[in-house]
Amino acid sequence: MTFTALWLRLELRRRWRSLVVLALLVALAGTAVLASVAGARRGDTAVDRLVARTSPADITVLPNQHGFDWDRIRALPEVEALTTFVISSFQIEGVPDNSTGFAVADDANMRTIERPIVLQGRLADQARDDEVVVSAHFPGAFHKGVGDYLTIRLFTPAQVDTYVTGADPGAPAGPSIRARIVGVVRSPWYHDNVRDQGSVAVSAALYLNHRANFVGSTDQIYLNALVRLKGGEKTIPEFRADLARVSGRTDIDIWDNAELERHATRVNTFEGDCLLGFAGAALIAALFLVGQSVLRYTSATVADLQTLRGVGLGNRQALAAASAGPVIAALLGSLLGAAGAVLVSRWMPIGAAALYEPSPGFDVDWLVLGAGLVLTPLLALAGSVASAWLALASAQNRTAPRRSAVAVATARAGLPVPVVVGTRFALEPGRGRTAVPVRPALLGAVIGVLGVLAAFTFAAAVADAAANPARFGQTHQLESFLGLNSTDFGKVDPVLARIAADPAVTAVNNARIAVAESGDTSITTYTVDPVGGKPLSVVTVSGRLPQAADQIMLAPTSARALHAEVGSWVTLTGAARARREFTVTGIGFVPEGSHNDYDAGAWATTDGYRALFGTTFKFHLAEIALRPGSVTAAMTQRLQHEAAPLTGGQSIGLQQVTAPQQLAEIQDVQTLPLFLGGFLLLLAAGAVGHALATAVRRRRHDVAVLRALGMTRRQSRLVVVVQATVLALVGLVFGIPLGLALGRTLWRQVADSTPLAYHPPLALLTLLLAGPVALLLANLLAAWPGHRAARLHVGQTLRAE
Amino acid sequence: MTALDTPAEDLARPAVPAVRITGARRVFAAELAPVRALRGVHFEVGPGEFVAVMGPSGCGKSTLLNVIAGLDTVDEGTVEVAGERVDGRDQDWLARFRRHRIGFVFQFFNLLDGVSALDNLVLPGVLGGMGRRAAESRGRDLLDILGLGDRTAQLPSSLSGGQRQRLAIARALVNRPGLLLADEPTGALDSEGGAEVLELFRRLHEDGQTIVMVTHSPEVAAGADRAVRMRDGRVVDDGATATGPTAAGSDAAESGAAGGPS
Ligand SMILES: Nc1ncnc2c1ncn2[C@@H]1O[C@H](COP(=O)(O)OP(=O)(O)OP(=O)(O)O)[C@@H](O)[C@H]1O
Ligand SMILES: [Mg+2]
Repeated sequence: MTFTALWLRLELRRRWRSLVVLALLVALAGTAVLASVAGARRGDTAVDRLVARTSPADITVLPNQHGFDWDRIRALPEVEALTTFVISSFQIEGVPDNSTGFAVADDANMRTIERPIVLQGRLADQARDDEVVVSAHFPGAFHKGVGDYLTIRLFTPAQVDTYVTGADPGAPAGPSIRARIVGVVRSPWYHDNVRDQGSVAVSAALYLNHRANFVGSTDQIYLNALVRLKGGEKTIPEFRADLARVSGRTDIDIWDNAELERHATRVNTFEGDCLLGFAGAALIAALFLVGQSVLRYTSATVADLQTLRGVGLGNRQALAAASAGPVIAALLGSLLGAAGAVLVSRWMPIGAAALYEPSPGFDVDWLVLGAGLVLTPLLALAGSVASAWLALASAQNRTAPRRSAVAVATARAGLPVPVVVGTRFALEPGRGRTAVPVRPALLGAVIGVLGVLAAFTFAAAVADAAANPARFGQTHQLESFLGLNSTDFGKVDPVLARIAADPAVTAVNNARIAVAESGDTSITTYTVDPVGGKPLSVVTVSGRLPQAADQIMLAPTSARALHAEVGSWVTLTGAARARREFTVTGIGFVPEGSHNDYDAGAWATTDGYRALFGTTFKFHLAEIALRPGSVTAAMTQRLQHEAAPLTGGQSIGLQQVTAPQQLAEIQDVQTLPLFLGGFLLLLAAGAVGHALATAVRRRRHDVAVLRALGMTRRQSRLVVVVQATVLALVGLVFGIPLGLALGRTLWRQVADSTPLAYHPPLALLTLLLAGPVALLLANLLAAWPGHRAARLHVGQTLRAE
Repeated sequence: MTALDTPAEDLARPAVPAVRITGARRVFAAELAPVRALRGVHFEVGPGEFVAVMGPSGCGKSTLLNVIAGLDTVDEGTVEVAGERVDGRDQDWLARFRRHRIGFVFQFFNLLDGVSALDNLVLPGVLGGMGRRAAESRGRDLLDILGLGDRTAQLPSSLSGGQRQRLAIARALVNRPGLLLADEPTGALDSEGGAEVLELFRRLHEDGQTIVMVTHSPEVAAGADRAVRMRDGRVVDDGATATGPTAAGSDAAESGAAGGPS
């Protein structure tokens, strides 16, 4: 023990820089891994924790009936709390309607139900109509925060009467109220979605003090309600029964709010899984790159200790002495890493979970940090003991050192001495006291390039998918709703023909949609029916579209459910129990609809469809694709205008297609692989830098000899530059193809499981820049060790060795 | 006729001494008190001369050789090698100067451990501007002459002490230096190895090589033209008594100049 302590003192004095670098590497890795694991855990539980703290409504009850008697509902045994809100509107200057929120009609809101977390400021006084609170996105989107004022404009009772009839009431002409934003709040009901601008929640007093401006002169206004049930979601059936009994209605719409929360949790879990994936990749890279630094460090120590073995140093003492430094560094590094993770927690959780986080800001996850603090030094201990043991074993093994064919070839080629020596330093470990393991540094360079390339390739794929609804099979931009339940809204064909004739329109598909069954699986079936010779391009995963009545293309998830592949036969049951056999000609995506996701359903020919459903349909819908860049409101209006004469002046419904939810989820984690790439770059730079510094120190004798033989300072610096360059080149040669392959393989996994159309990603910029950046970085890293090599005091070094 | 005898210097002008040091002082900073390694050294070596430097441990012998080779610098005084000032030069000038003018044999060999015996000779040859092939054939010649012809591919660590020192001497000769400096070349060798090395030096000297050799051993010193004694950083006896430097030196110089490049 005393020897270990003494040795450690010497080490700390001699090699504190190496140990500091090691500690910093551990700290960096620790921060990345701990922060992302803690962040993933935090994101997973964000919704649950918010729900636990805010007494949220379990259901939203929508009778849409004026004069509905809420007091009787409030008195039902299942109901714990209830607050009503007004289906009527008001405006706030400079804030669009979808951000103004509803006016609440009683002060139970935010008191006994949906009592929000206050992120900033305080809750509004429900008795004051001039106080409002906002959700978290609002201050950023509208540049108004706590202490700022908003102007609320109410309609006159006469305007409300106009509004109730469905006509346009014009700009509000009633009273206007200057209301102060007193707080920023969050609860499941008062939360933001990923792309929301945030919203305002007004006080109950606004409605209570200005009732006429909401209900008009006829009192024709609906109050709906948020309800919190004593037994939670489980008691919805009892509530529904009592609601029917009390109200005499069975058709009242009840939304299950937990359903929304479950969706949010699903998204958060997906994002959390991405973070865990990030943590895993970071951990593996860190184990590897930090591991090689530990290896190099201990093998250097063991080489020094060899001389002491002659005077009686035992194996165990040597092992203890060799691992003491790295363990101390790991201990320090893990403390720094834990501190870093706490700092980073400020930005956690990421993505959608951040919108539910009840206590944003710094967070200390003791379980994760504790595990990190215990495991990191243990890993360092295991790693350094193992590598010291290996070094001891190899020191006793007197085989000739490995020669590198490349290094020999550079010498044979008669290249300048610094090139020959630099290549040798990079590729040959040397032997004896000056031996420096080179494989870890080489692998470090490869892993660095590989990791960065894989991460950026993956990121390119994510960016591509996030920007391309076509990856989710959505190749049309507009949708026209033409009929429901086997009845068209008008004469459809001439309208579609007219739209298809527009030069900006590239495809029109006239889809009849109905749901077929195969066993337990429902298959929403679309007709392939191009209008005007402009077929919709369907994104196929494999095979092709159906061309005959007994052919069908299945969407990937449906194909999986039916265990079908291209060439399989499937039996579908349509309307009136019509059963038909189809051969699967392809797997591909379908339009996302109200009855199906883009990955579930099927395409059939019009004949095939007719065989199943006759002339019936659930929906009649046209998918319309436009030339890139022409999807605008003006364009939509133009098409509507063109169609108007054919529909007798009635405008047809043309909606812009919204991107599938999965796209938003993927967009949300878009930055993760970039962080991973940056992290790997830092780690690799640290490892290679450490390798160069170690090599110069361990091989200063060789450098000094060469200097004595007449090598100039510039040439000595060049030796290190060549060494760094060779490391970078090896990293590039192996790292680029492997990284590209890894990035693509990972993306294929994601594409298969999402699912989405796999499109081989190519991070062109990264590919182009990888070489120059790696070489530049290597040379920057070589600067300091090169300087040391050039500054070497030859006489002194030679007399010392 | 041999590979040994071809100093690059033009030694035909005896007027220019191979080494001339005047008033050299060198102080090292040390923990307790500064160490005065050289305290006003005057020292001269004629062309073609073989000089032994002797003196007790720590008297400044190695420092003296180092300042001649430009591996160390003087704080005061001048150092000239073959008429050229070495003091006050920058590192790169000194590096280039060493390539052709100086051959240095260290007490502890200082060979490159990871490369073969031949490559230990090729590297300085290429540094000195030879092509790879020329350096290789020069290296082989030297190894043959020094009796290491069958050891070209061996690593230095697998050679005996005497063989290693011969390899180090061969390395010092690759670029045909005008001046061969040797710091206790026999110090790490047994008497047999020491004799081997001394015999080699004598042959070199006969071929006209100027040599300055530090040694502790009177027998070794006896092989030189003259023995210089140092004590406490000063030259106390420059040994210029028995054989005058000029006579032997000019003879050797002529034979040296006559022996053309190999
Ligand atoms: N770089 C240095 N730093 C500090 N002191 C030094 C340094 N180099 C030499 N010295 C000191 O200068 C003095 C002369 O050293 P030098 O090596 O020249 O002696 P030497 O005559 O060669 O001795 P030896 O016969 O033992 O090799 C010694 O006292 C030595 O400790
Ligand atoms: Mg000495």
